[in-house]
Amino acid sequence: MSVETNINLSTFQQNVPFAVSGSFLGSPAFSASAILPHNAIYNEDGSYNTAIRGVLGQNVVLVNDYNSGMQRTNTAVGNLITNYKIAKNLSFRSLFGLDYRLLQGDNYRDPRTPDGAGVIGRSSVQSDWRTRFITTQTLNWNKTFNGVHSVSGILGLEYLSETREGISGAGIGFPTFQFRTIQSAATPESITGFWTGYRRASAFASANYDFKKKYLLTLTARYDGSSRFGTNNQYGLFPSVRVGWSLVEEEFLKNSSSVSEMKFRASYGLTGNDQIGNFDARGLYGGGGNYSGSAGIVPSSLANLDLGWETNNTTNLGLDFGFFENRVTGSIDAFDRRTKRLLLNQPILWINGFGGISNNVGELQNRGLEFELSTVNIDKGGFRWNTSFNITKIDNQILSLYSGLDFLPANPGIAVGQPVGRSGEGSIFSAQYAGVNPATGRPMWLDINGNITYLPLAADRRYVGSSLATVFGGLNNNFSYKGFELTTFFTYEYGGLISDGQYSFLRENGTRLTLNALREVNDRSWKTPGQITDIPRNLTTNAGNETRGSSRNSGTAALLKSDFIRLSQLTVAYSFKPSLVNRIGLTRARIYAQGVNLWTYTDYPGYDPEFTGAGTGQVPLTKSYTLGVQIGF
Amino acid sequence: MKLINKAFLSLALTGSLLVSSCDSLLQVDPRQSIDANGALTTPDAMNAALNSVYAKLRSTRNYGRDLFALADALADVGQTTSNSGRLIGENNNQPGSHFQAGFWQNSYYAINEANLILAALDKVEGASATQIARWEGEAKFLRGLYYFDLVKVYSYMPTALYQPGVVDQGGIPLVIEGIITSGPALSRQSPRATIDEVYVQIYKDLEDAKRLLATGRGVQYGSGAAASALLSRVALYKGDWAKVVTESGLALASNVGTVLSGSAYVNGWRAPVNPESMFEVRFALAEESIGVNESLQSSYTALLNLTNKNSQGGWGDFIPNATVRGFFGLSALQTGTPATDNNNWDVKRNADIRGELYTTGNTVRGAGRQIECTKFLSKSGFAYADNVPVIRKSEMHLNRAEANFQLKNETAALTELNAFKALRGLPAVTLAGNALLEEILLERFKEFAFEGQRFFDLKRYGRGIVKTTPAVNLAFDDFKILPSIPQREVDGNPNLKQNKGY
Repeated sequence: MSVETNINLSTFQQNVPFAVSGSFLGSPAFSASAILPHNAIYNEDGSYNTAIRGVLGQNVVLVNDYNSGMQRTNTAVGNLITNYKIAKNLSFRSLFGLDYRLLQGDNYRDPRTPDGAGVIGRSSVQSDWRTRFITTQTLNWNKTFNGVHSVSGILGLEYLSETREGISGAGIGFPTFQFRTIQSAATPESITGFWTGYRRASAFASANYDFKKKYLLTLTARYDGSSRFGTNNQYGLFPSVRVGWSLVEEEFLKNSSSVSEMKFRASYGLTGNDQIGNFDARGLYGGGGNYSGSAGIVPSSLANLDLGWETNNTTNLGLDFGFFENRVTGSIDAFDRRTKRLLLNQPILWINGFGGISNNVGELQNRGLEFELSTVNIDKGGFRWNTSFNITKIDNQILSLYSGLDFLPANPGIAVGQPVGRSGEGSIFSAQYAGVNPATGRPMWLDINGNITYLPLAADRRYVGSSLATVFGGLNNNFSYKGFELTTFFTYEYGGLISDGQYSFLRENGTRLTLNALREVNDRSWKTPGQITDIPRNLTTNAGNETRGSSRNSGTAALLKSDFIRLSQLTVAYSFKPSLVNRIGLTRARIYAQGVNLWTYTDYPGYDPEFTGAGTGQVPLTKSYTLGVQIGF
Repeated sequence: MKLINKAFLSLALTGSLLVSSCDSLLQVDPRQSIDANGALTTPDAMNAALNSVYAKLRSTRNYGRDLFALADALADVGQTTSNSGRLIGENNNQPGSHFQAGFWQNSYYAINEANLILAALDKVEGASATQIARWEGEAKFLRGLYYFDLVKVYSYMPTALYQPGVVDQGGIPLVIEGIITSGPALSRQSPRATIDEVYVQIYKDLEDAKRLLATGRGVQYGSGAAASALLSRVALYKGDWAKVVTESGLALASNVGTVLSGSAYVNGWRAPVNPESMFEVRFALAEESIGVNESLQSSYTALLNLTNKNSQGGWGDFIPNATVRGFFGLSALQTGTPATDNNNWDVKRNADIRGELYTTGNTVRGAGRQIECTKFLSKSGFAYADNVPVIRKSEMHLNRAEANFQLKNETAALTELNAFKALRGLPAVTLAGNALLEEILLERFKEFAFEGQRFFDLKRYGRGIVKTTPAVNLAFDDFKILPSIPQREVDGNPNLKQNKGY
């Protein structure tokens, strides 16, 4: 019997003087590109210039200097693991784990900044406690019969409980800007809190068998229950089967000089997904809607007793291979994943008092091919060059929806035969942009019959793709010679279409508001009759757009291809000889220089094709350079 | 065997600790919500549920901004400044720039809540008859108000239904049964009721409210008098002129609200609760403020307050146009030096007392110093929040004068108009026939500029909108008089016909 415990304590703090996303006028990621560049940040005497003209009247440097904010995460993770060897082939393992997390944040809007001036400073604080308890109890058994039949099995129970609760508050009205903590506020502005919880209980069993490591078989089954689902459907059974055939162990390949690895794999299995809100199945009245100083309650969700597990039924066929003493290795996989009882928000007509309900709405298919290849190109005289490459192609489409519907009512982006996007949003269903009328400079779209219109209607929308990349992968090269090491790692994506709020804003070309514009957009804008271009004429009649037509960013006009090839990582390193560093008491020593996100090849005109979220005021992926020393004692 | 037993024993032991009761194993109850089933069975819960129906009036999409500022931007009241870029499309009557999806959504959510309250009336334990009457009266008052606001926006008015080239698509879906379970929520696909049916329902609700709410509990809540005042306006939009006269009379005779004149009228606009209000939407707490971007104050003026015009306030996106400036003889006037100090500026005004509600703004955000409306100036005591007067008692005089004119009682109409003009510091007029009607409508324009009435006053007379800045008029037969019904509602409801042109 052995008992082990481990406890991990950590704290992580970040200073965030202002928002890192969204269209806040003081946010550099949003405003910096749009403030007219003739506005100076500093006056000649070195003080901040506060007379910045136009709608973006905030000095972003001042705002980020005067405001302050902090985000801190304190974590305590502890595990108690007991292993008990019941017999030679049988052991029992018990794990109890506890994960405490405290997330704290505070923000101060300085009264010297535009956002803080109206309220004479605002301080806000947030605390968020998260507790996660998990326990897993397993029995492991294994035995080899006659030296050729290896059998092993696992039987287990698991239980998980998560709770989150938090409070936050804000106060306004501060004596001077030096007073930045909430107790100095003259007026409490808001106070709120929340509590939420979730439990999951599982039983599982798994059995492995192999014959001389040549024929492999694995059977597993899980029985899971989740508190998130409706009382009629909380439990789900998820079995799977996997077989393998290691051809390299067969007589006809065993002595092959060229084939060093060859294994065929096939699997079919079900997994469950319960990634929805903790109380999505419940019909509730929540607090809210206070009026005239007294409290209100509001119907917040509808009960769905039948809400149940989403299952992913995955079929996978794969081949692992290796040649020439594994100097060339790789794998090919083909998969077909059918997501049945797909969990999505099923829209409800607003006239019925609600916006939607979590429900099992249909079936989604993801089909794809994955290919991976690693090679040792040169390994001679201490010089070694490795290359590995992978590529994945995915096709994704909705196969069916409940009640035989062709599209989700009130959300036609989710439609049979169409893909879904990056984070489960629908495909893009929009009027096709048709460029600019060369005679007049007006933006044009296609109606549903393919004719030109200046004013596309709802009936003119069509499916044009989704934000999901259909092809992606990476390429890694590694060179080493006598302690020196060079690594280059590229990633790439192809096939996604996205709209970028920040770019669309700049694409207005300053016609609605006095803003900076993009030179490439301005140069391309229509100026003379006969000119063929994609950017409409600029109008400044108190409106950026045609006063009797659709906005220049309507329909697919502002959609962008998010294809890219990116040098994600470049590392140069030198490792000292162990014999050298041993003398000063070290086991190893390595110095390195690393660059992340150094170069991107893309036509994407916004900040970053790999951004996440709505794209307005997003801080793009940063370029970073690291110089480091790693030592081991 | 012994070993196996031992193994199963240890597993079973830990297992039974976990699975002590299979039912409670996955039982997690929310702590900040209660089960919707039976939520409305106590008097406290009913009061709280009713508060939420009121609170939804505060939404930016309803009285927080759009029913005032956006409606006036659609009409001929003002011009935009591009200070923040807001309301430009609406002022240009661009396609798609109209009342937004959120207005429909928020209003129907509120209607569902009112319906649920009405359905729960006989299930409340320990409620007195007085309480039940109040819940029913206020819920019906609110439902009537929400339906009236929806139908005046999404449909043509009964007084100006058909014009060449315009296909009338009827009223709006009329739902009067509350939904709290998913079955009906997923299956109810109500079509548009006729405009008549909607007005009949509004009448019914407001008549009930009038009967049930003899004694009100403050102008921030529905009252019998407020129901009469609202009925007066509903009847005006319906062309039910005799009813306008009756209900205006009842509202004027009530002790709710006061008709003010002279400087008292101006001071009424400077008080947290305007004494003229018969019903207003209350902004009571700092966290209820709509904020610097979309509040009424911010939409109308760049000033934070009148004490120091140099303090940075809102955007001042929508300001009076030449027509409105002309009503009150407004032009910028330097009152001291230096000229760069915004406190050294005001406006020249004529005898009309309402000119006091306009002054010059500021240049703090780098915008030009414009003449702006100051009806909303953080009067609730914190930034960017004002109680919004939905119905002021003065309107009763103008409603009745117009109705009397339509009933051919021109003498009564003229007398009431002149009495009203005297309250605002204007001389009496001697007019008859159409000229009298025009004068009554003009007085209404002046009185309710920046209070969201003008667009609907033009619409109920089937008139186009004559714009000054930009000078691009909107004819009454243009589809952009009506907004689009939110596309998701049309996509999801085959029985719901979209307005023409969308």
